[in-house]
Amino acid sequence: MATVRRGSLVGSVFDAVFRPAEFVAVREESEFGNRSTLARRLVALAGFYLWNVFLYATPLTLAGIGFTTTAAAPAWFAGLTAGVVQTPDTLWRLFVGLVQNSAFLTIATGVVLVSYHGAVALVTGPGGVLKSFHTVVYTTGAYLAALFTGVMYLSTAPGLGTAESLVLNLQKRGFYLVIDWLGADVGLPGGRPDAVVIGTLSPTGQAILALLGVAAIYFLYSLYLGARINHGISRSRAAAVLAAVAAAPVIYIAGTVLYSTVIL
Amino acid sequence: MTTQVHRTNGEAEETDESSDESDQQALHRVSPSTKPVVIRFVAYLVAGIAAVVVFFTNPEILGSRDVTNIGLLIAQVLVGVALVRQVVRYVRLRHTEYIVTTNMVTIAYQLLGRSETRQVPFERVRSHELRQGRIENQLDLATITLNQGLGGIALTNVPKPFDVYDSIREQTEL
Repeated sequence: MATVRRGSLVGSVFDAVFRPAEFVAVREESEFGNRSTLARRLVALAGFYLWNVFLYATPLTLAGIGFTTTAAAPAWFAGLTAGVVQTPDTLWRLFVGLVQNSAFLTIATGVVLVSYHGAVALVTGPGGVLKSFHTVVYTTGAYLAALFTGVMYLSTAPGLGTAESLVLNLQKRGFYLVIDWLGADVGLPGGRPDAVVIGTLSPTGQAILALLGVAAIYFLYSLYLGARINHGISRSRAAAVLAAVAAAPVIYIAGTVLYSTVIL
Repeated sequence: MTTQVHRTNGEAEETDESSDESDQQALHRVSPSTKPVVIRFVAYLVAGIAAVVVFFTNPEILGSRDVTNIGLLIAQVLVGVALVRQVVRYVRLRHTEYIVTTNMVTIAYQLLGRSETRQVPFERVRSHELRQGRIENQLDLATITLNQGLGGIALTNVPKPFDVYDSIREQTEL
């Protein structure tokens, strides 16, 4: 039975965990029909996304996880905040940390939106970009943000070095898989990854890696559901859309390799 | 907006009024079946137990003991979420009633002093749909959706669904 839950944060979290179909579904499709409600919906979605990014980046920044800076505030910022705060340097570091911590999620959202809607447009034809935006905003705002938080935590928390190495190794292996496939004569700055001694993973490291896996599964599944429900496409076509999103990092790596070998 | 929603805590005048109205001209008053939910719960439980047995008996099935542990944790979380979800659905369906009158379709839900009714008057129905999944088909159940994509309502696991659907079609004349 369909019920409205979006009104509360608890309800949204419940939907995100237990009812991902309801979480990503467009409830009022009629709002995507005419221009006045369309614009209102776009603003509401953008606001919802920014709020989610803020909720994601603020705890990371305040806890010192992720990107931090020790730079002093520039003169223009100190002048701007003079009389408002006593230590503009602290506010500046918070501001820079927030921007830097938000940047990766925002870039990732853009890449997902382009690949997701590109695939949807290939399958269903042009149109429906706002429905794609709706889907991507909800999926990245919840599941991708959880994924990034886990990775950030791994990279900064003490005692989780093996788990962090495992995640980094997986990323490097992904790069080298494409490099070898293209037969390009390039390499990453650190060279090929060494084998991680898996037997030394701590229980906490295992738990965080498991949660990363769960978040990744939720993320991909919710994109699939978004394609099925919001765009009304078949299972096989939704799976093709999902494959396009999963292929986006491969395209990015291949593009980077080709750029560095052909153009540079 | 094509759906009227009333939510109350405790005794509710609005809900009682609409219930009285529904009583007067009720064509169908049905409780949704919980059998599909129970079947899914058992299926998830069996799948979860099978996964745990496979991971425990083959500790290096994913390459190493640690990675197998991670796979086991992922399976446990996903199965746990699926089981909790089915329990919530079961409780919700057990306290839900679908009422079709000559004027409207109502979903009434009441649990622990909280009541909620969602109504779609027939004059505001723009579309209706009957769907049967595999499990629903075997159990002679179906999901009837009104005004899909317009903030409408979905009546899930409806017993004798074609009788209910025929009544809705006759009243809406769509």
